This record gives sequence, C-alpha cells and structure tokens, in this order.
Amino acid sequence: MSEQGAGLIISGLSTGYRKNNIIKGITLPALAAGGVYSLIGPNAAGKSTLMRALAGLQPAKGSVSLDGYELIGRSLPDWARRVTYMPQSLPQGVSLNVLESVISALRASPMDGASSGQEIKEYAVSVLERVGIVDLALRNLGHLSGGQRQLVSLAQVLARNPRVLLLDEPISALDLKHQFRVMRLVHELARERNMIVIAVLHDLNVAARWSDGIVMLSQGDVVASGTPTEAITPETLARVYGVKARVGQCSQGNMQVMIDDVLDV
Amino acid sequence: MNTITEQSTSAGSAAILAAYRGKVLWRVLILVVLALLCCAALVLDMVTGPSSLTAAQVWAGILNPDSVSAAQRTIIWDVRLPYALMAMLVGAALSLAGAEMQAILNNPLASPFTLGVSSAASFGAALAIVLGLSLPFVPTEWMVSLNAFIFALGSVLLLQLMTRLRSSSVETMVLLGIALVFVFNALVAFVQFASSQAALQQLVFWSMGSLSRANWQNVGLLALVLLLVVPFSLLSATKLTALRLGEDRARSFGIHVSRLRFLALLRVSLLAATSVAFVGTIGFIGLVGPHIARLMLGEDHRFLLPGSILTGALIMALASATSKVLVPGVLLPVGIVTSIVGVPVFLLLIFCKPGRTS
Repeated sequence: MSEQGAGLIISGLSTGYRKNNIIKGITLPALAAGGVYSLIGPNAAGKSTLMRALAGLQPAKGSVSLDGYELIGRSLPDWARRVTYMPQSLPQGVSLNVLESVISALRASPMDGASSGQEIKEYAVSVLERVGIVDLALRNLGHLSGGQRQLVSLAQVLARNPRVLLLDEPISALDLKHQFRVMRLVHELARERNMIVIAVLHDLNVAARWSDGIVMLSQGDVVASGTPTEAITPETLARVYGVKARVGQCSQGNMQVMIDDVLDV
Repeated sequence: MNTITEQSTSAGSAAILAAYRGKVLWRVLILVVLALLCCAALVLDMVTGPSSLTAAQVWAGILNPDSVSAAQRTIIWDVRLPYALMAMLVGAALSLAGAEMQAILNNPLASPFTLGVSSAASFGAALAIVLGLSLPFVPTEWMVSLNAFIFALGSVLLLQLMTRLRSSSVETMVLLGIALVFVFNALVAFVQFASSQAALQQLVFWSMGSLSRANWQNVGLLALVLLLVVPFSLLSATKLTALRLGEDRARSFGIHVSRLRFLALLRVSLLAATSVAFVGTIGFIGLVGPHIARLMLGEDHRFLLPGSILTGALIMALASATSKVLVPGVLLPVGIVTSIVGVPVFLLLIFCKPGRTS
C-alpha cells in the first residue's frame, strides 16, 4: 500500500497476556500515511489486544515501525508522542467538564506545538468545534449521554494530534447521523494531517464505506487484508464470522454486505 | 501545532474561554475563602478549652507572651497552640492522602486507611505498648509513634512488593490491601487478648485518635512531612487528572501509571503513617475531606489537591474545638468527634448540590 519504509509497518507481531499468546506473529501490508484502516473480526478475535499492543500499552514481540522508526522496545512517552489510543469507554462519574478533560489530555505529557496555557485552551476549544461538540464544552462528563461521551472521548485523543490514531469501537454508541459525521471527520483528518487511523469497527458497511484498507482478524491471526472489496468477500465472511452473506453494490456504487443466514459449524 | 480548524475562532469559542476563565477564578476564590475559614477555625479552636481563658487573653498571649501569667502562657503555648496546629496538620495530611488515594485507586470510597496503613500502625503501636519495646537513643515516649510509623510504612512497601509480583492492576492492589487490613486487625486483636488491663486501656485510647500527645516536636515533624510531600503532590496533579479519564487512556497520553501510582502511594503512606503515629486512627477525614473539596471544586487536581488540604484542616479544627465543648469538662478523643462534625457538613453539601442526572 505504500513505498518502502514509509507509513506503519507491522511484521511478526506477537502479544498476549502472560503465557497466553493472543496475537500470533501477524504481518500486515504497510499502512500508508493519510489512510484509514479498519480492523474487523468476530468477538474475541484479538482486535483490542492488537490495538493495545500497537499503542505500546502491553509488551509485544516483533516489529512495529513508523516511517522507519522502530517502536517496539521504546519507552511509553516515546510511543505516546506518536501513537494515541482511544479505549472503548470513558469512566463514569468523573467530575470534570468536557473542556477540562480535553485540556488535561493535552497537559498530561509534553506534545509538539502548543505550550502556553492560553494556547492549550484555545486549541482545546478548536478541537471541540471540529468534533461538533463545542456546545458541550462546559458540561460535566457525568451528565452526558453515552453518545456524547464517545464524542468527547474522540476529542480527547484527536487533540493530541498523533501520527497514528488507534480507535477502539469509536462509533458503537452513536446514532446514524453521528456515526456518519465521526467517520467523515476521521477520514478528513487522516488526509489533512497525513495521519494513519486504525479503527476497530463492527459495522462492515461502515468499515467498507470509509476505509482505505481492511484487516480481517480471527483468533489472533490475519485472515484477509487489502481493499474492502478484496478483504470482505462471501468466503471470508463464512470462514471468519460463520455467516452466509452476499456482498454487492448499492445504487450509488458503495459496497454492501447482506447477511442471509448463520452457518452451522 | 497545525490548526485543526480553518474557521477563525468564533465568538462562541471566545465566550467559552471566558466562561472557563471565570470558573478558574471562582475556584481560586473558593480556595481563598477556605484558607480564611481555616484561619478562623484555628483561632476558634485555640480560644475554646476547659480552662477559663477569654479569647482576648489567648490572643494577647500569642502576640505578646509576657502580657499573661506564667500559667496562662503554659496553657496557650504548650497546650492550646500545639493541639490546634496538630489538629489542622493532621486534617490536612489525611485529606490530601485521601484525595490522592481516591485518584490512584479510581475509587471514591478509598481513604488513606483503605490499604491497611492504619491497621499496620495500630499493630506497631500495640506491640510497642504491650511489649514495652525500647531502642537505644530513642526516648521511650517516642517508641510507640516510631513503631507505628515503621509498621505503617512497612505495610505499604509490602503491598507494593506483592503487587509487583503479580500484575500491577488496581484490583490486585485493593484486594491485597484489604487482606493486609484483616491480617493486622487480627494481630491487634491477638495482642489485645494477650495484654494486661493497663496496657489494654492505653491501647484502646491510642487507637481512638486523640490530640493529647501533641507537642511542638510532633507538630514540627508533621509540618516537615507535609512541606516535603505537598510540592510533589501538586507536581503530579495534571497526571492524576488525566488518570481519571481511564488507565489505558492516561498511559496512551504518555503517563507512566504504575510509577505515578507507586509515588502517590508512597506520599500517602508517609502522610498517613506520620499522622497515625502521633494521633492514632482518625477515620472519616481522609474520606470526606476530598469529597467536600470535589463537590466544590470538581476534579481538576490542580484545585482538588489544595482544596482537600484546606477542607481536611478545616474539619479537623472544628472537630477539635467541638471535642472540647461537647461534654463540659471532658476532652473527648477527637477521633470520636470528627464524624459528628463532618457528617452534617457533608450532607448539607450533597443536598444543596444541584441534582446530578444518573
């Protein structure tokens, strides 16, 4: 997907908990800067584990290289300067307002760019504007709906302006309109900032609509990868999800996945 | 930093920034008011007491020690002042320790004593009292406090060691801490069972929490510990705030969470162990001080930590004053009174706070 050395190159990556290896030495085609990539697969396929390993949050073996810079073995702040991970949920019952939470994400560790207090605040507000939740800025996190919390959670990680953005189920709590807006925003930002976005998604139609590349994961191994039409086929869906599916095109030319039945395995 | 939005910052965002500035100013104002209330409570605490000294006499005795009689001078300088200062320092220390503990354990029910610090201290004190331990070069009246401190700090180091051996998750830490609480409580009970009547009485009194052992040396030591710990606490305030957004998220922001947790726990144990060593177990402050501060200031730890210090000091000063007047002629152990004073303040704040939608 890109020339030698550029982008994010994952090869022979293994990780897991204790002796239980969940991701078993996977190698992916290079992920190009400015691209949106979706990680799909059934429950317990190892998607979140892979994301945490890519974020440097758990020990991993193999190689993760960003623009030729090997990340495995680097310190956490070193990872954090380049890669930001958005976990699935934001904790409940925190007495911080939305703006404060974004500011604290920026103040947590040194970032390139904004340094003075005033710059950080202005920048934080501009991020909220971009995500479209500037009207929530002074609302308490504890008073937000599930969908609003997910948007705030996204704003916190976007604010850090990473080279690689890892989103673990970024739209699971959102209504259709907000799902679309978030995916469009992520797509735009990836292009604008030359950022690599990797998102765990469950909705295959959404994944196909917005991704430059798809990685299909099952039991800690890559089953298929490539463009949406290459990776999502009736065969791979049957093998990985155990469903009888059709893959077609809608009248607009977008890819469409329809599930007809469950295969008895 | 490349701008995320091409639109010029609109009037709306200027209004939000102004509102945010207003909020910060409001919090600073709350801190200032709390500090003034603390000063007032300190004065109140000093002028209350069994001996019939008027407020004016106490004030004169502090400003100009030669203006009052020798007996009055002794009461003011050797009893009232160290007691009152000890009360405030202990309140400040326990409340700060509680605020940090609640942040690192991600649990609003945590207090400096959650992980067994006070139980360990009680066991240390019990051993010293019952066995009459002594060390060369250590005055005997310091032995109980010293032993309590050693055990309290030891329990935290033990906890750290055990947590390191397994995964360093919060759940493991809390479970091991609770196990330590039960172990030390059982050991204290065993010592009590085996001890003489006189030692038992001393032990019970010790464990109730009382300011009666306060003297200038104690006050100086606790003040020193606070002076040592507070700057480091405030330096990690932004990291503690980020930790509130979730452990994985904080780590992905580049925060070394296990290191942050270890250093915070070290500060908590220093504060709690020193406090317990001098005044015994005073519960409630470490739980409620931070809560009151949080209700007023939110969870930006740059404000919450100093706020907790002040609320803790304030409650303890009021509790200390109350303990002298609640039963005329009797100085109640302050540990009994803290809840009596703290609970109404706490309830008032909870019920006055605009309802939170669940």
